[in-house]
Amino acid sequence: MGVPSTMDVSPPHLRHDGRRAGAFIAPALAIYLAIIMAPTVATVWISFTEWRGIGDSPEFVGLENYRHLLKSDTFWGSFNRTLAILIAGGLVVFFFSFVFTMLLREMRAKRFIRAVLFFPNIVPPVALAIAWGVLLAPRNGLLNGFLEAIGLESATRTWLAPDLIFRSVIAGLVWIYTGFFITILMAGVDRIPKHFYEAADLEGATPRQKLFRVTLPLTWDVLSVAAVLWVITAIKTFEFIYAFGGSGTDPSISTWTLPVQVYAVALGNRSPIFALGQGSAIAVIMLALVGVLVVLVRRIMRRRGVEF
Amino acid sequence: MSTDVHVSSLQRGGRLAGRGIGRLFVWSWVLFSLAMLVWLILAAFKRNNSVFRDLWALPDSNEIQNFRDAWDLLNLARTTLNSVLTVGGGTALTMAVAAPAAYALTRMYFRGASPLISFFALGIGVPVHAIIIPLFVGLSEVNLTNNLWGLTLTYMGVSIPFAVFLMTGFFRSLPSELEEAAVMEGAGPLRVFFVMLPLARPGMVASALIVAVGLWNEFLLALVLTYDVDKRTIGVGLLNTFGAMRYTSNWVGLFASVVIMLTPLIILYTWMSRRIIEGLTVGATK
Amino acid sequence: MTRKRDGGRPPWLAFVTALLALVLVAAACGNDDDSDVSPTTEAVSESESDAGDGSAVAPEPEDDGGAVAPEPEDDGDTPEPEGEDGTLRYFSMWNEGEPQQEVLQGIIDSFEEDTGVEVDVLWAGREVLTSVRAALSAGDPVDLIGFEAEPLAGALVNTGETRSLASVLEQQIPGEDVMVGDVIPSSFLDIYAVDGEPHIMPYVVNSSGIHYDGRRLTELGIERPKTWDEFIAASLAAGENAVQHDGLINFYNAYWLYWLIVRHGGPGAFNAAASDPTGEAWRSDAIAGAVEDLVELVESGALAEGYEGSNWPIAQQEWANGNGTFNINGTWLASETASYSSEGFEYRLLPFPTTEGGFESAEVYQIGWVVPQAADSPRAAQDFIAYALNSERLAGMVDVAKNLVPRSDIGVPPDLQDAVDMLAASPAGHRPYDGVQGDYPEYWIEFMLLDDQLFFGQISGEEFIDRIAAKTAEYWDSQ
Repeated sequence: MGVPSTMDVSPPHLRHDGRRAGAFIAPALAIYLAIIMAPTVATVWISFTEWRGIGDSPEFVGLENYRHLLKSDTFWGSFNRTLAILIAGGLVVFFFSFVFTMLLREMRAKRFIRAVLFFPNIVPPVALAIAWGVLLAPRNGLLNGFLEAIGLESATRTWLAPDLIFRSVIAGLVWIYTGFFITILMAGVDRIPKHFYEAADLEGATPRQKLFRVTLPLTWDVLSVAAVLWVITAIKTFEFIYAFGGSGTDPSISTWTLPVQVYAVALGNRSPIFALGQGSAIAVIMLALVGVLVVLVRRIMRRRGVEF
Repeated sequence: MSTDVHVSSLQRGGRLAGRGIGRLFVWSWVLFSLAMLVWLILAAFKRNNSVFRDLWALPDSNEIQNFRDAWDLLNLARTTLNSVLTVGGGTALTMAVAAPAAYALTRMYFRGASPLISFFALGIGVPVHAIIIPLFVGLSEVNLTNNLWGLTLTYMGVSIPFAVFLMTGFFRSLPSELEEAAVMEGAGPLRVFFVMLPLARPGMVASALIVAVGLWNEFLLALVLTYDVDKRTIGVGLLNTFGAMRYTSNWVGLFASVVIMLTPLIILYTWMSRRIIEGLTVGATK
Repeated sequence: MTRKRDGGRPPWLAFVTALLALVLVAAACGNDDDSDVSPTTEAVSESESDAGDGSAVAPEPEDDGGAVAPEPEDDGDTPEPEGEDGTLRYFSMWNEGEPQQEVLQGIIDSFEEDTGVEVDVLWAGREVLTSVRAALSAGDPVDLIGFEAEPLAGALVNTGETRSLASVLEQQIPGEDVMVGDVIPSSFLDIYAVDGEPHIMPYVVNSSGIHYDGRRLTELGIERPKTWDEFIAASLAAGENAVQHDGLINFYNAYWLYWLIVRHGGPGAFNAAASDPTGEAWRSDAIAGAVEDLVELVESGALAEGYEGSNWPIAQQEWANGNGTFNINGTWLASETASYSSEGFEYRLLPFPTTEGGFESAEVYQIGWVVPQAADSPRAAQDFIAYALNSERLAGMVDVAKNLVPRSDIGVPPDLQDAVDMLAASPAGHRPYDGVQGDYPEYWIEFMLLDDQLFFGQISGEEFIDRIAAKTAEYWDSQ
C-alpha cells in the first residue's frame, strides 16, 4: 500500500554496501540460480541439440528440433489444447469466480462454501483425476447415471469421446481452480472499505454500477495478480491430464498439453523416446508463451486500478 | 413517479430472482463436490462387481478387505512420511534462506537491490515443467535423484522466487524505528535482522503456507526425480496404486486408497481451512 | 564402470554441478544415505565390487547353476548397494498385486535362498523404462530389466545399451539337465538379435486376437467366424455392444488397422509402409483394402456405443461381465479379467479374421529380460535368468498368471488353448504392431494420432491415406 519502494529515501545510517547484504542473499540466490536459472538457460541450449541423455553426447542441430515441431500434428494438438485451457478455461474460471464472489458476499454460509470450493486445491491431483474419470465414464459414469436417474436420458453423452474429452478435462480444471480464484478475489473484495459501498448505496447505485464503479477498480491489482497466476497455472497443466490417463497406459494423445508432451517425448512413457532436444524445444516454447503472456497481461491491466 | 416505482420494483424483483438463481447455482456446485466425495467414500465399502452396476445403492457389506488391499499397496505410512519430510523440510529451508534474502533486499538499502528483486520475481514465471529436462539430467549428475534430500533441495529452488518476492513486500512495510534503535546500540546486521524478524511473523506464516500448499500439490518433480518405492511421495504413490488397481480392475480398492489418503487431509482441513485460505490470499492481495 | 561416458558433457553441466556442490557443502548435508556427490560414490562402489567379485558369485555356473554361493560377507543393509556382486538390482514391469508379480516374487525368494544373492526388485509398473532411465542417469545399478520386447528394443536394444545374452544360452538351467538354449526356441531370440546374438530373453510369449465368451456365442447361435466378412456379420448378429473396445488407449485402437494391414499385405507390410521414406507405400492396394475394412467396421455400428470415450479398463470389464461379445486384445486379457468375469465364462480366442487373398500369420508378443551394458552384476542377472526359466518355476506364469511361456514343455493355461493352437497353426509370425512401435517410437505417436481419427470416424479412408503418406514422407525427411 502506500510504502515507498525507492531506495533513495533510505536513512543513510542504515545503508550498506552490497557485500554485507550479499551474505544474507547468497544462499537463496545460489539455490535459485542452480535449480531455476541454470536449467532455464540449459533448456534453451539443449533445444538446439539432439541428445538421448546418458550414454550419448549432445549433437548440435541448430533449429532442427523446432522445424520438426512445426510439422508435427501432435505438437500442434498439444499447443492448441494448452491455449484452449488458457483462454476458454480462463474465461470460465474468472467468470465463475467473479459471480461467486459477488454472491458469496451476501450469503451466510460464506466461509463454509468457500472452504468446500477451495478443497480440491489441497487434494493431490491424482485423486481428483480418478474422481473425474469415474464421474465421466461413458456407460457406468456417475454423471450419466445421475442424468438417467432423473429422467434426462437424452442429456447423457459419451463425455470422454474425442469431440468432448477435452472440454470435460477443462471442466475438471474449472472445478478445481475456481475455488482458488474465488478465495483470491474474495480477499480483494473484503479489503474494500465498507464506506465505499455505503456511499454508493446512498447515491442509489445499482449492483451493476457498484460492480463497475467500486468493486472492479478497487480489486484491479488483485485481478492482475490473479490473471498472471492463471497464465502460469494454465500453461503448466500436467498432473490432472497425466493422471487422468492413468499410469502405465499413457494419457490418450488427444488430451496432451505441452507439459505432457515434454514428459512423454523426453522423460518417460510406456515406449519412451528420450528425445531430450525435442522435449526442450517444446519447453522453450512454453517459456516463451509464459513470458509473452505475462507481459501482455501486465500491460493490459496496468494503471486501471485505483489506489486507496 | 408511479411508473418509476413500478420499474424499480420490477427491477428489484428481477434482481432478487437473479440472485436466487445464482445462490441455487452456488449450492448445487457445493452439493456436487460433496456428493462426489460421499459417493467415493460409500463406494470404498462396496463390492467390485456391483459398484458400477448399481451406482446409487448403499453398501450392503462392510468390505474392510478393500481397505486392507489399499493399505498394502499404497504404502501410505511411508509415502506420507516422505511427503511430510520433503514438503516440511522444503518449506522450512526455503523460509530459512528466503527470509534473510528478503530482509537484505529491502532493509539493507544497497545499490542493485531493486534489480535483484526483479530477478528473483522472474523465477515465479518459470514453470518447473519447462526446465525439468536439464534439472533431471543435472541432478542425476550429482547423484541427487532418487533421493529425498535432492527432492527437498529442488523444492527449495522452486519455492524461493515466490517466497523471496512475497516477503520483500512484508519486510518493506515494517516500521524502521526498532531497526534504527538497534543500530544505534551498535548491533551488527545479523543482530538487527533477528530484532526485525518477529515483526515479520504474519508475513512469514503466510509465505510458509503458500509454499507448503504448493509443494504438497507438487507432482511432476516427485515423479521424475524419484523412482524407488520407498522414495515416493503421496501423489506418486497414489498414481502407482491407480495403475496397479486398473490392471486388476480393483476399483473399490482404488476408492479405498483415495479415502485413506483423504481422511487425514479432511480432518486437518476442517481444523484449519480458514487459516490456510487466509494465509494463501494474503500473498495475492499484498 | 561404464555407466557414465566421458566426453560430450555439455558446458552448463559443469556450471550446475559446481553450484550444486557449493550448495551442498554450504548446507553440510548428510541426512540421506546416498546423497554423497558422485566421485566418492564411484570410488566406494568400485572397491566394493572388487571385494564382491571374489566372494559372491565366484562359482561359475557351469558346475551347477543351482550352486549355493556363499553369503557375501557384508551385512544386508549397507548404505551403498552399488557394485556388490551379491546384489541383483531388478526393474520389473509388473505392479504389486498382479499375478505375474506374485509368481516372480516367489521365484526371487527361492533364488535368494538358493544362491545367497540378494535381489533388490523394483515393481515399477509399465513405465518401468522411465525408472530405468532415471536410475541409469544417476549411475545407480540396473542389472536386470523385465518388460515387453518391443519398447525394450526401441529404447535400449537398438541403441546398443544392452548386453549380449549369448552366453546364457549355454548356461545350465538350475535343477534341470538342459541348457537355456535347448528350451528357448531361437525363433523367439532371433527377432531381437543384434549381430546374430540374442539380447532379449523371453519368459512370457503373448499374442493378440479377438476374445469372446464361448458360451455366449453358442447361446446366440453364432458360428465362430473365420473371415473378416464373417466377423462383421457375426458382430451385427450379436446385438448391442457387440464389439467392446476401450478407445482411450491409442495402442488398443491401433490393433485393428495394424492387423488388417498384416492380413492384407502380409507380415512386414505395415513396417514397410512406415519405413518408406517417400510415404508412397501407403498407397498400395493391400493398405487400401485394410483401411476399407476398418471403415466398414466403424460404420457397421458393431462397436459398442461410446467406445471412443471408454477409459480402460471399463469396456473390457463390461465385456467380461457379459455385456458385449467381442474384444480385441492381447492374450493377457484372460489374466486381467479373471478376477471379475461372469460365472462360467469360457475364454475363447478368435485369430484375427482372414481376408480374401490375404496372409496368415500370428503375433509373437514377447515379454523378456535384458541386461543393460551398465549392469554392475551382469553375471548374477544371467544366473537369475537361467534360474527362473526352470520349468517348475516358470510354470507359475502358466498356472497362476495364465500367460503363455516360451518353453513348449510346460503346459498351457486352459483359457489360452485357442492361442496355443493359433500360434501352432500359423505359417508365420510377426512382431507386435509389425515392429513399428519398437523400431520407430516417435513415428508411432504420429501414426496413432491419425489412426484414432480414422477409427473414430472423424476422417475418411482416403483422407487417412493421404495424410499418413504425407506424414511418413515428412517424418523421414526430417531424420
